[in-house]
Amino acid sequence: MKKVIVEVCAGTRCTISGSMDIVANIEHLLSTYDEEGEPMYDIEVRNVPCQHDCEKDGSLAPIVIVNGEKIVCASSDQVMNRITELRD
Amino acid sequence: MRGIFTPITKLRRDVFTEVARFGYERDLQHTDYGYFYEASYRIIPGERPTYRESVFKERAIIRERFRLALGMKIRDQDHYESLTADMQTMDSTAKQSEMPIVNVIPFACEACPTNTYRVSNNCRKCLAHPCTAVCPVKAISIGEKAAVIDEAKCIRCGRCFEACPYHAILHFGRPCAEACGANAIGSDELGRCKIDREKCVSCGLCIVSCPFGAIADKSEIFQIITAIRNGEDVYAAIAPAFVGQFGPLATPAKVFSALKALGFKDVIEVGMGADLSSRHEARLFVDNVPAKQPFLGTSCCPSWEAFARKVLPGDTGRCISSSSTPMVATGQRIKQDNPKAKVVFIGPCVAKKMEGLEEDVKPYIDFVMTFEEVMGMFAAKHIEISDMTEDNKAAEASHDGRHYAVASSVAPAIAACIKEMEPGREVQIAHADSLADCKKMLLLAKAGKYNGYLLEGMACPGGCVGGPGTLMPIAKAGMAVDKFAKTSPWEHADQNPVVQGKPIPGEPLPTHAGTQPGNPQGV
Ligand code: SF4
Ligand code: FES
Repeated sequence: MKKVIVEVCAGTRCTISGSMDIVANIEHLLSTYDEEGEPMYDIEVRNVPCQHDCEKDGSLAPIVIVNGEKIVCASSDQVMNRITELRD
Repeated sequence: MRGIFTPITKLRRDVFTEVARFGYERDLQHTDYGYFYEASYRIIPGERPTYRESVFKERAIIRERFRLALGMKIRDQDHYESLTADMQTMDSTAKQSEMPIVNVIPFACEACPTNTYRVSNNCRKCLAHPCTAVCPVKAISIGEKAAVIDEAKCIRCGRCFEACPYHAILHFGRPCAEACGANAIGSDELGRCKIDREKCVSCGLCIVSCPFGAIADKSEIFQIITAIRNGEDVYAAIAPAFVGQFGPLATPAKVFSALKALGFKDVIEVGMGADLSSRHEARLFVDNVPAKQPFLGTSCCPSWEAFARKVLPGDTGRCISSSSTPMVATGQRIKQDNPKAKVVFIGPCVAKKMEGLEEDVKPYIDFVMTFEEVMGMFAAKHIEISDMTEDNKAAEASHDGRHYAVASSVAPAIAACIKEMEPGREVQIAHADSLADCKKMLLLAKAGKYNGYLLEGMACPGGCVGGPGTLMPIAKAGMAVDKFAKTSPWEHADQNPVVQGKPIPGEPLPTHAGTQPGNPQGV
């Protein structure tokens, strides 16, 4: 299991586009355990300020960066998929 | 959906942002209302429908949402009416919206089946099939592959649903009707949702529960921005639930600055008005319970108050406090200091829009908007809240006043004031959040089970932090409110010097301040 760092933009445009709901969904992963009772994920969630992508085009929000790789128009399912891929 | 970000949440917020952008950027002399046709193409781009059968319908729904967001009524679809026909009236710096606040966009409603039971493929056609044994009208039988329900015979009692060991019977209900604690959702002649105005208490929970986004509320964003651009003294009275709503980097002090950057002259915490209300309701309790009335219900939640008056007509209904709500108390304070002020209440609440239309509230509250709507203003004006300098203004509210936003905090705040007024008095408290629970509490109160009690009711599960106009998941929001409340230098309302010596709403002003202009009731 590899550690995954998820940086979620908490700027105005990304917040209105639901970035904090993505955080809430990722946080649910933190309390998933396998059959041995071991946590299934090692994730660090960080709230980061406006990444300035929204200035080019508001429809790029929300921005989420998973292990350095930027996802634009991020959705919870996309981000969670990426986290699961990177974990194993 | 409530508390979950979905494509509907996005559409709703896109509409607010477009209306706010129009408000800020339009040419005040030569306004082109055609903007909204164009904007509907920005929100629904391309030729392929995403959610419905055609892009034309998707855009038509967006345009109806624009009407509501501009404060207009929904158009009848059986004859022509231009999209912007009422815009001349709406283009105003004064309140224009009227009841009803909560509206169904009929052609956006998918006419979901009401209250039906269906057999799912969980059915194993078992030997015992207790479903047929329990059905009182023999509507369920064992078919070739599975149990079958005869819809014509079914009386929707749910017995088979409870009896099946495989949970194979599904209950199908209308999400709007299930969210409605006032039982106000019925159907029109086409089977689409229709709101019974007699029963509706404008809590707004159906708005955030409909999976097709068919219900929306009216907004005043446009008139607010127009008043700001007209150079008027527009004040923001911000409800206690605001903390944390604009993201983890938007500290309360930054939110205050950001609101000023939107053009608000000043920002006042409604937690201060909550302190005034707590003191007033404590007074009412001490003076009247149990001598003149058996119990006292709180007044801060307008849906609960309206609902309680419907459930308990007559004398018992009068046991619900009619004191000024925190919103009104705050508006009164602002207008005492600046009679020219226009006050905008910013909260999590749709029902406050209804309260704002009451004749005795209008003198103090000019407009009501939600956090979601104000967030549309931030986005339209490209205001980055986390970049703001902190406006470290002095606290205006006690811990208890700031905590009003979380369910089961209001009654304890009042009880603390009662103890101060009448040391040694033990106050018994009951509380309910969600109208369904409020109803149970009210019926028990009517039956005399809560004599001598202070009853707190809130329509939204979780309290104001769970309101339909919020942006943050409820648990997070509640924690943020709690943290901010703890930074207040005062624990209880009666320790807050900001409200000391100030008139308690509903009571005559002390003589030295009794000559307020435009304040004939002396409140
Ligand atoms: S949930 Fe929405 S689509 Fe379904 S009946 Fe209610 S308003 Fe109509
Ligand atoms: S707010 Fe997220 S990129 Fe600007």
